Amino acid sequence: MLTADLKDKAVLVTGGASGIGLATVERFARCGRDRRDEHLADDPRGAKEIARLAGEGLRVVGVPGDVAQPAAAAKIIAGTLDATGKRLDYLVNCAGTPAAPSRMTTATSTP
Amino acid sequence: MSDAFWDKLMQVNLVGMFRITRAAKPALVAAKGAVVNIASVAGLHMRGSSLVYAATKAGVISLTVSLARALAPEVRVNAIAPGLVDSPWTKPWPDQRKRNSVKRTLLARMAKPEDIADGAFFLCAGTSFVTAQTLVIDGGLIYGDEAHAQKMEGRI
Repeated sequence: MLTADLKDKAVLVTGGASGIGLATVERFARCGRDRRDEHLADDPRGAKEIARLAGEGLRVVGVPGDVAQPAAAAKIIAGTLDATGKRLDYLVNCAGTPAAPSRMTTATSTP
Repeated sequence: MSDAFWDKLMQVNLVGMFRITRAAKPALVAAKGAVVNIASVAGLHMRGSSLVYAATKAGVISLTVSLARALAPEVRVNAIAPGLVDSPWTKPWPDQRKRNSVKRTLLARMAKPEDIADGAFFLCAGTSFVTAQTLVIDGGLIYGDEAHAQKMEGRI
């Protein structure tokens, strides 16, 4: 596995509560990273995952917020910088929402 | 394809990404940092997904290049285009739908979230001279043809 010396660096992962975002949080955290993640405030998975990683001695801090809300970005970044000592080296934008599950909405079937 | 669906996906997948990056700019510039945006193969090939999702992910790839210009030379900005990922999103999908994609994937499996995380880690910390690029991490889904699907028949 690729590793890097990331001492003193800070990373923010949006959508960090599950899926690709959570895997990215863990990838950085296991490399000694001082990690912050953002997850939806109403997403109960975030707090649970942070507790799990903290239980392993990894440094992960949750910064709740919803990226779809116009006022949220400034708060999420301010919360992140507060937690990292005003430092942010890497931003991984994972927050996203999927396509509707219906097969009738595929790009190929509704040109 | 309602207006509300358009608005939701645009706000979460594209506009929200821009706002976060804009807010993070001063800190990222000071740190000479890097940004990785998660796009999708749907944003490159406009199929296998909803029209709206494909459009937002194509937007992410476009935004990535524009931000790479705007934040240069201090900050590198790249995107990752995953194929089918075994994640909470795809968990409720019908098995047949997933099997059809896996059959067309050269490496004959779904991506694990960790496969995508590896790419994000590389683009952030494993390189210092890559910017404005989209790294496709799809196990060869894009290049899987009918012949490959037939070869995989009975093995998936």
